[in-house]
Amino acid sequence: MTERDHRDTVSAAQDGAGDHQVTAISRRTVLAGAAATAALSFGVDAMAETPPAAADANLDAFLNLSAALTGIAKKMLAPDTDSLGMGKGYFDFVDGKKLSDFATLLQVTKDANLQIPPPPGGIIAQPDVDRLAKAIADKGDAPKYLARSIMLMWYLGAWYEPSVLKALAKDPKAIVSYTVVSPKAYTQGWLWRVAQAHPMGYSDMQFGYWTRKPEEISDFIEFRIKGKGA
Amino acid sequence: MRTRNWLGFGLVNILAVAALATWSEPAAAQAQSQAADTFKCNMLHAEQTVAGSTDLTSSDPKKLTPVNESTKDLILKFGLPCDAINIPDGPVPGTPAAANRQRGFDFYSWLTFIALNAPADDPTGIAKSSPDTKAVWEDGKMFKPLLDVMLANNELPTWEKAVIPPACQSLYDERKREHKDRMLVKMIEESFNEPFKTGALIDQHNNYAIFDILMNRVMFDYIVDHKLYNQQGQKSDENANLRVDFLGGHHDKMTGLGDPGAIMLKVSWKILTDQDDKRKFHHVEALVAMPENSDEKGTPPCIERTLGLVGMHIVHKTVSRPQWIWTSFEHADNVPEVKEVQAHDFKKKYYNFFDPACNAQKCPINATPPRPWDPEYAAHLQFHKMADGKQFHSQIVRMVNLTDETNTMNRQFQSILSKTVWSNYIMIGTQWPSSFPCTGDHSTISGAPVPKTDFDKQPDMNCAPAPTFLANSTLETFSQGTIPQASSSCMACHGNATGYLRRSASGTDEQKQKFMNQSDFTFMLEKAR
Amino acid sequence: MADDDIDVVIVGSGFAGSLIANELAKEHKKIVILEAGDRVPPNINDYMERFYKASIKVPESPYTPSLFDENGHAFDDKGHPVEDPGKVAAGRPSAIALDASMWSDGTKSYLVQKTEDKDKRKLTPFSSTYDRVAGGTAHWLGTSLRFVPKDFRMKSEYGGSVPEFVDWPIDYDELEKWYHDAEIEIGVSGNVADQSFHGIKFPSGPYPMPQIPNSLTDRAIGKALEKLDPAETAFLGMEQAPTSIAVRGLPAARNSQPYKGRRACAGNTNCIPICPIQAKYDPTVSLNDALNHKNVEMMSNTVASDIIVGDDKLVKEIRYIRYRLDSNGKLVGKVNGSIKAKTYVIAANAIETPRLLLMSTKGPHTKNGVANSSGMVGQHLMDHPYYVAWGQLPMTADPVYPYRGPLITSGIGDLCDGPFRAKRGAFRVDIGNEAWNFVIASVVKSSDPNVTAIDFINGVNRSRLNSDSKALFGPALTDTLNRNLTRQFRIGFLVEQTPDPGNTVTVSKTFRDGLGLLRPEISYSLSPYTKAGIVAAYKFKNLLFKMLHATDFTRVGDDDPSKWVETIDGQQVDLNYTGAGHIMGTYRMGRAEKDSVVDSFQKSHDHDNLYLVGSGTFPTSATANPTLTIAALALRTADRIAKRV
Repeated sequence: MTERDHRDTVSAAQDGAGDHQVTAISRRTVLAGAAATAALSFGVDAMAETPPAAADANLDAFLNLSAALTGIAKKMLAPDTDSLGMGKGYFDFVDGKKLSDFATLLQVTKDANLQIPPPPGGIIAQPDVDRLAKAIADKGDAPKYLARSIMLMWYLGAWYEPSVLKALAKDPKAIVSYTVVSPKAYTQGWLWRVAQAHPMGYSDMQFGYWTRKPEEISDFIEFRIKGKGA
Repeated sequence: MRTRNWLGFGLVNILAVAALATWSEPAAAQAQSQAADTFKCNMLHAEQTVAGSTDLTSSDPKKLTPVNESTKDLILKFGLPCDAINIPDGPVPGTPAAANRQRGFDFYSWLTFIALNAPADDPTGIAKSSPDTKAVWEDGKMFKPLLDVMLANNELPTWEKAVIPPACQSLYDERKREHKDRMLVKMIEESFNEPFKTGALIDQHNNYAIFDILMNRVMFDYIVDHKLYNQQGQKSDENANLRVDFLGGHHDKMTGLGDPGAIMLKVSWKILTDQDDKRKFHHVEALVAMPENSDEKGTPPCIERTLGLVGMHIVHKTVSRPQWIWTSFEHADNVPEVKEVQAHDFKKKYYNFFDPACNAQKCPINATPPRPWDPEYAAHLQFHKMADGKQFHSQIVRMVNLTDETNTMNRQFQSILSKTVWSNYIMIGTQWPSSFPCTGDHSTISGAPVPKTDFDKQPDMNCAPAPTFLANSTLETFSQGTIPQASSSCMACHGNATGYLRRSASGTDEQKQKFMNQSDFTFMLEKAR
Repeated sequence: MADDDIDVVIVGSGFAGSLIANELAKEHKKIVILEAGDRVPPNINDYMERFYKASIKVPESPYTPSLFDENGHAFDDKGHPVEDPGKVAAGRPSAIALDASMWSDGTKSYLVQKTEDKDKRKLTPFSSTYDRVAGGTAHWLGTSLRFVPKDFRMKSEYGGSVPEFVDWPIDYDELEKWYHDAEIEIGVSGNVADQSFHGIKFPSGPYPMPQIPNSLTDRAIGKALEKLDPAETAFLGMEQAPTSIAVRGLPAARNSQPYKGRRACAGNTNCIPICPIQAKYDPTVSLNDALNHKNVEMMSNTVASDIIVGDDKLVKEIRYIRYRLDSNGKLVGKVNGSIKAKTYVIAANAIETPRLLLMSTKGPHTKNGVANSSGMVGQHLMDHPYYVAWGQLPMTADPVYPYRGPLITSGIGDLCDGPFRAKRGAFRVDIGNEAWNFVIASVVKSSDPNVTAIDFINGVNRSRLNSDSKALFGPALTDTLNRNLTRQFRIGFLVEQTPDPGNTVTVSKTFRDGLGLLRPEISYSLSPYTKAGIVAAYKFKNLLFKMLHATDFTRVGDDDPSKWVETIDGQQVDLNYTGAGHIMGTYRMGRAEKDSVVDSFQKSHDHDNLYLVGSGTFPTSATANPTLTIAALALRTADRIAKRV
């Protein structure tokens, strides 16, 4: 006897507010001067980006480390108005592994005192990068390969264990496996953007774009505001 | 310094309110220069009102300060924002810019919802409205259904003319003689089957939910002026280089004058029966022309029904956000959230699209109805019985809980609207393009050299939508979730929208291939016949 | 609906099954579809999530049954596949099980593949895979090419030198209307002028959508082939040695504008394995349309296990096993059942269909299996052996910016026929838009751009791009990666395979699936005719790379089980092949009952109420992707069934 075919249920809860960067509002203050200026103007409509309030020093070091080694502008990895939160997400991911080498990397980065150039651009200069890379290598294999794992995480949204990378460096035929950090991380992989493309399976582009040359690589990895800004 | 000097701030504004134009028809689309703008835009924004007496941003539900009358008055009467005002700073230091801006957009969304749902014959009078008062957006002088624009046989649509479906003609004439106003709803597949044929939504009384799409005058004029209302026009040589670019809403910061720009709506209706309390819904009396069903013979009938508003998308193109601003509202009784289901602790006894008494075995959550989905003519928009004689009701759950901030703002606005039916509605969220280097590249506000709405010059057309996902439980019922590309996100989906190819795709000259079929984030153009 | 009422039972809801169901539904026939795999989900959240998390993104990766554990891994710590084909209820082959250590191991590979035939001749892997879900092999690329007229007449044209060839019992002119109907139904974008080569004509009408724009890689290769020295192209054996070779757009079931409620392509570069926005047609579209009629029902997770034929040689009923899985995909229960109809259609693909036919041996007329009086069921298994090559343009050349747009937008079809076909297999050329993404995995066991990225970050040289094995950082890294990635490209050759009697699908005597049914057993190898086609492909590749001034990075892995050595122009060359995913030939159509299994309407010669559809009916392989021809034949069959049921 045949039965009518019912549709399946959507399985249990999806992740809730994970994409929001919202903190509870715990104090109230009033915008100084708002009352005064309001009389003349109808309020501020600011497009300009303001630097975030004093960020966690470790998170900041992580972002500096990431920007330096990957060659992507820090403000592209972690914009001021950040709806994706990749920086914090990746920091928590690595921090959660409780590796002492991570603390080493953060300290080495803080000590390196990297210069983040202002826009347009924002790419940390090669001499600074090389200095940092050498300082990391000087601390030994473990931090060195961890740094590479972090680079690949930003580039591909996937975690390659430092031990896997170390084994591969010694034996090019070693089996290399990885774990995708999350679907979101996969879609935010920077390697594809370095190739002036997009992750396979995730395009933000319009029909026909592929028949034209892409924008300059600076549009992909540098922090540029073409308009006047306000 | 805390000030309760609402009046101090408000002095200029009260004058503005006094001089508030009733919502007149927006300036013709051709008048793009700011000098010609006469529309008085709503210039309120969230932080400003914080500067006054009221605390519209408290996240502590116990500390909800009653909104004082003059603030309430301002909010209820000021009208439509022409653009969203939002700033990265907020009253609480340390709050990330994204959160502050989100609040700004959410505030703008509520102002917009109020302005569009205000009475059509008294746009400042929402406080006095009844549940069945005709809203601004239901007025044929302000918004037009998409199906009245994309006509068959290359017929030219005119703004003044409402299209009466033949099946409804006699009923329409009869009601007209009785001086009874009726909304006309023409149904096609998309009127009951959610986008990309994801499914029909069946309420607790066995009726189909009905969806409709409307555009404002600005969009209409653009479509007609550029001959986009039929396929032949879209594909014509004169449109070969057209960069579809609907007029963006804009305001002058000093004068507050501007133009709202292009607005499109998608609404969902629930058919109200004797078992429903009509007073809880904004409702209209409608003549509904049922959709074609290829398994049936003859013409689909026209039926008269009371429709209750259960969902509303408002999409607004502005010069600061050329990727549009995407707002969604729902009736507060639609569905429970997933956290209520998991805790087995429901906030309400009754929902429009969920039965708390039915378990997940018998009523699988978010399941599409058993096929076939096409309404049967004789059933008059009641869903067919299942093989075992039972009736199917959709059992819908909101899979992504609303944020605390959203809930707070909803409570505050519900208290502002408390004496009206509109306090039964909640904002689901606002999605907006958050990457300024990206959106600034297209925005006239940032002085980008040429706003490039075909986005060929930008690696990312959507400019990091925030929040990443957004779904209305009545309009994107079956594609809720948080998986990129697959789960509902207004901008990720609409970024793929195109019209018909305006130019042959073959050819070697890159320049010739620039403007292929982009449609500026709307699926409306693909409905051209 | 009661069994007495059922007009047609269709086994399988892939291309052929869903199209036939939909056509018959429109004719108000009462249909029941049996689908071995899971039903169509309400959205593709689950598929996309699985894809994004997959650590090896093979064509089967998004779909159920899942290849992966909860971390997206397909292999455990010991390197064994997470999936045990002996436990999966309705299994399917996977590209993860094709390397030297697994392809012939029935405990790891779903297909039980033999390594030598009864004469101890070496057999090689059958490398093509399929999906087993409602909608069938939705992981296809979307290519919708028509065959060229000569493809239908291989015996008449070339049978003198190649005795294996047979003619089709239908020709291009007769099928043309159905090609057109199929193009409308699935929505093909193409350009008639561009596709009118080798006798292809379009009297029934044009494509419903304009062609997909080409890519920069397409144009670079087109340019390189514009001016050729005939002395260098003479080896092709064309009518005349070409002085230029056209790169043509690829007609594809991929929307170039809104079509039937689906979006236009947004270039997600992910057609295989799944289009995130369904701009590419897949059979769930027609399946859902079919199910939207009152008179159509589907039973998912229902595996047909036995076809019972009566004394009157008509099919009496189909027995099936219905199974249930828990939320982790584990088998938790099964029941047996049976279903009767007036007409039966088996649309289970060219491996599962002969498996079912050969498993069904009850009854006086079916001792050798159902529909098998010719003995041809399971014989003449064909694929398009796929020869891939990859290279890089010089740093002085303009980049071609791969990883953008559909996976393939253009190809070379003009070389698919000519006098050479008397001596060697023809080929069609795919131009890939995805650089070295999957091609490098055949050697390095990892895909790109991961391999290239890891090379320059980790200071290794698996790609052969990082000759001094430097580890780079910062701007030096992004610059190097950019310069290298944006100039990579790859091509692929689909080579015509002869219908060899030794290439077979049989039923294993030992290996079973999770339902206890014996699994398919494969014997497969390439004939000298086909290998000669690959040799020609290799030579063409060399010519193309020379004209591009490209560096050839093509390699064959040491342990590649498909490889062999050819002497070409005095050199020892390693050649290999992979699978194009085109499974054909195992119940071929023909006029003569002793030499074929079905007629041109795909009706069994033996059983009047049985139709066997899909590319299993193809008597020869041609070089074009089979899907459009599957669809055209399916529509023609549906029309026939509608008239007779």
